[in-house]
Amino acid sequence: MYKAIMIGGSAGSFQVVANILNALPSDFDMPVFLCLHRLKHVRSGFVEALSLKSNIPVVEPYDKEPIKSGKAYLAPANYHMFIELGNRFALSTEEPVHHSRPSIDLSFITAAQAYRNKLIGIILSGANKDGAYGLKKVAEMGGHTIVQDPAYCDVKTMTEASLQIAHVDQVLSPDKIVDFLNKFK
Amino acid sequence: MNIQNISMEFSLEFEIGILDYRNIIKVIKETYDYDFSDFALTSLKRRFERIIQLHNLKHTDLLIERLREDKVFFQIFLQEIAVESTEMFRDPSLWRYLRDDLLPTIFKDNYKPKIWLPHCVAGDELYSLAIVLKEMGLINNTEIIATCLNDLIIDFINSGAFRHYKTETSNENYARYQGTGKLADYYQVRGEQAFRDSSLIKNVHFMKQNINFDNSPQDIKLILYRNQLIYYTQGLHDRILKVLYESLISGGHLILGTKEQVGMICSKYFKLVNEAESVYKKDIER
Repeated sequence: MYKAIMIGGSAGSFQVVANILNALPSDFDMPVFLCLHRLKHVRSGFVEALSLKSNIPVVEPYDKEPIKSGKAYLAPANYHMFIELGNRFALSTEEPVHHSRPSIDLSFITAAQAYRNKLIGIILSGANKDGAYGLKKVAEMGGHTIVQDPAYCDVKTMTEASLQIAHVDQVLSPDKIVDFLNKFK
Repeated sequence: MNIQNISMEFSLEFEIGILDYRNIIKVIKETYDYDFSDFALTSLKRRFERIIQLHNLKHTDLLIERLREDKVFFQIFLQEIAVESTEMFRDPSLWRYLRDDLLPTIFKDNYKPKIWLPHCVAGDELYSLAIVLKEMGLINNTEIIATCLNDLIIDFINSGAFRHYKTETSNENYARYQGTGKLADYYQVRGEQAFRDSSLIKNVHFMKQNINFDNSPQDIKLILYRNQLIYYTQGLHDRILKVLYESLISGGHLILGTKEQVGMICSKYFKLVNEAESVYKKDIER
């Protein structure tokens, strides 16, 4: 039914993402896109840290790389990550959005256009409103939208901004997000 | 000269449709014989949306009218369509690799090696390279060729103009590069605008070159071309890489952005010699 999962987060989201990757089975049948705010100049270490407990491979995609199911794709440092038509990534170094490159909004908007109602969009803990508009676009295209329950967030700015402007289907605790994704085993 | 601060963020809510997108490309092709059809769709569409907002044109028809009637505007459009490098000394580890490994090797067997920077937009890479070479004492022993889409871009780079919003990250990058001084030694801030010391590039040979890479320079030892191929489709990407291959001498090097690859078709032309920094060598066997 769904064809891809797009997850956005910044401050306080790392552990939640790590738990999600740890809970997904190795034969998970969708691509998982991760757009997480990160330091511009630190290129290595993030993928390695997320890979530790993940059952599916975690990679930072190259420009024009084809998208495959059963892989997690982390937006690389200092690039925007777009989902391009033709089932490929396109990277960009254009201006930051909400001071962020990678921008969660841009990843979400392009994924919403590519996958339309076959996309699950998830906004996690974060200290910036980048992502809220992107989640709104996911909802407008008919995708399923989930926001981490602000009560469970280290930093609530991103989730609260999302709840304000986007149609959100579910507000879930981190454990419930994991349960929800596991239904797609 | 367009040195306004273009760091401002643009509304994501303004979007053009795919038909408008195709119309803009068609009009540019008809009016100026400039072909944007092999550009990556998502990025180019966002550039169009940005330009419409930047010039307060409200919708696509006004942009198209302006493009049809105003040849000067088209030159500004070309400058703004191109995505600038994000800052100076982006990926400090690459610049350290250039200084400590690659450049010493190149200068060992060459009296005056040619280095080519294709499709310069804001000059950040060019000034960074000039600073590296100056600090190595090799700036006068190098022939640097910079190709640009038009005179506006060449004038911008020659003026030394340095977008103010890039200075902070550039300073941090240079500190990580561990140069001999500090980056601020090479530029001055005047009000909202920063200006680089343009004497750094006084010997650079500037050339105009269209997007098809016609009349490319030859006998090149090193090409620095980072994060521009990401804006093209695979087809144009491959065609440009073949031109770059022809321009390089045997054993010459090509540096792409850290998340760019030469790709399947062109992998037979280039050997990857430094994966982390995306440095390739023209395959001598071929």
